[in-house]
Amino acid sequence: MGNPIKIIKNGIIDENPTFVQVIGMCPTLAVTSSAINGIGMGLSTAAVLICSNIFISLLRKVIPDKVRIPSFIVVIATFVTIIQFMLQAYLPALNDSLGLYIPLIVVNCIILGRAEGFASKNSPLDSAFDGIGNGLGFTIALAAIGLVREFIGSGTLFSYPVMPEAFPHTLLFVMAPGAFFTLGCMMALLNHLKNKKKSA
Amino acid sequence: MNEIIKPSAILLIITAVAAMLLGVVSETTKEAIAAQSAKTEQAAMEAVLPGEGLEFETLLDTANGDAPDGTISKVSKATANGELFGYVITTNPSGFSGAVVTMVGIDAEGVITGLRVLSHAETPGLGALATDPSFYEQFAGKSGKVAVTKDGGEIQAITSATITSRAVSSGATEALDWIAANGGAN
Repeated sequence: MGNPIKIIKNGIIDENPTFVQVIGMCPTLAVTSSAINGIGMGLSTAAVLICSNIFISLLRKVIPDKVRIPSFIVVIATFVTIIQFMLQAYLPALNDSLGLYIPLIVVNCIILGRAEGFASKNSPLDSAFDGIGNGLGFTIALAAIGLVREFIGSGTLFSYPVMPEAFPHTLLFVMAPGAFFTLGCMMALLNHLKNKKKSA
Repeated sequence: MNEIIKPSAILLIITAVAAMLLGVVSETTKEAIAAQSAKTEQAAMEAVLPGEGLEFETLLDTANGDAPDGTISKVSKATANGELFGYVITTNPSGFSGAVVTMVGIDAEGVITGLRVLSHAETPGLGALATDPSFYEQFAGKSGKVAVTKDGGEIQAITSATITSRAVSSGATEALDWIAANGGAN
C-alpha cells in the first residue's frame, strides 16, 4: 500500500494529467472558456475517475485480460450516465453549460489511462487516492486555464466583472485559439520553473 | 473453448449489472428531470408574457408529435379569465451554428411583450451574447416585422454577431407572422 499523500501529490503535481501527461486535451481546450465551466468539467471528471478507479480496481482480478478494455468502457460509461442524470435532475444550470461535454467524459483518455495504468494494478484504496489526485490535478489545470481565458477574453472572474468598462475584451481568448495559446504559455512557464528548480 | 466462454460470460455479467444500475437511476431521476425542464419552461414563459392568473393552452407542440410550422416548435395560447391574453411561441431559426431556440411572448394586440433565447450553440463572447438583457430587451414593444438596423429594422445587432442577431429577429418575425396568419390577434 502506497502513501496516500504521495499518490495524491503525484496526480496533482508530478504527473499532472494536463500539464505533464498531456492527456484529456479535448475537454481541456473545449470547455475552459470560463473558470466556472473549467471547475465544473474538472469536478465531474474527477467524480467519474474516482468511482471508475475504485470499481476497476475491485474487479481487476475478475476481469480477464482479453476483455478488459470493453469492461473498463462499460464501467466508465455507466458512471458518466449516472452523473449526467444527476446533473439534469439536481444541477440543471451546470448541466446546461457543460451539456455536450458530459458524454465526452466516457472517451476522456485520463479515465481510461488511469484505469489501464493504475487501477488495474493497484488496490482499491490506492486507486481511489490516484483518482482524487488526478481528478484534482485536472480540475486545477482547467480552472487555471479558464481563469486566464475568462479574464483576458471577457474581463470577468467567475462571471463577476473585475475590470473597468474600458478594458478591451480580447475575444480570441474565449474562442478555440485562445485555449491553445493559454495552454502552451502555461506549460512553458511550468517547465521553466521545473528546470530552474532542477538546476538550482 | 473455455477461453472464449469465460471472458464472454464475465463481460455479459458486467454489462447486465451496468444496465440494471442505469435502469434504477433513470427511474429515480426521471421525475426530477421532468420537473426541472417544466420549471425552466414555466419561468421562461412568465418572463416573456408577464401577467396575472394566466392559463396556458398548448396549440402546437413538436414534443407531442405535432409537425413543426416553419421553424415553430411550440405555440401556447394564454387566457386570463376566459379572455385572450396573448401567445407564447417557440421558434428555432438557424444561427451561426445550429438552431437558436427563441421564445417570444406576444399580447392580444400582436405586440411582443418579451423574448428570450432558450438555448443555442453560438460563439461564446459573440453570438452567445443573445442571452444578454441588453440585446433581448430591445424586442419588447415591437410588432409587424422585426429586423436588425442593417436590414432597415430597429434592432441593434450584437457587435460581430449579425448572423445571430438576424436569426433571433427572424424568429420574432416568424412568431408575429404566425399570429397574423392564424388570426389570433385582432
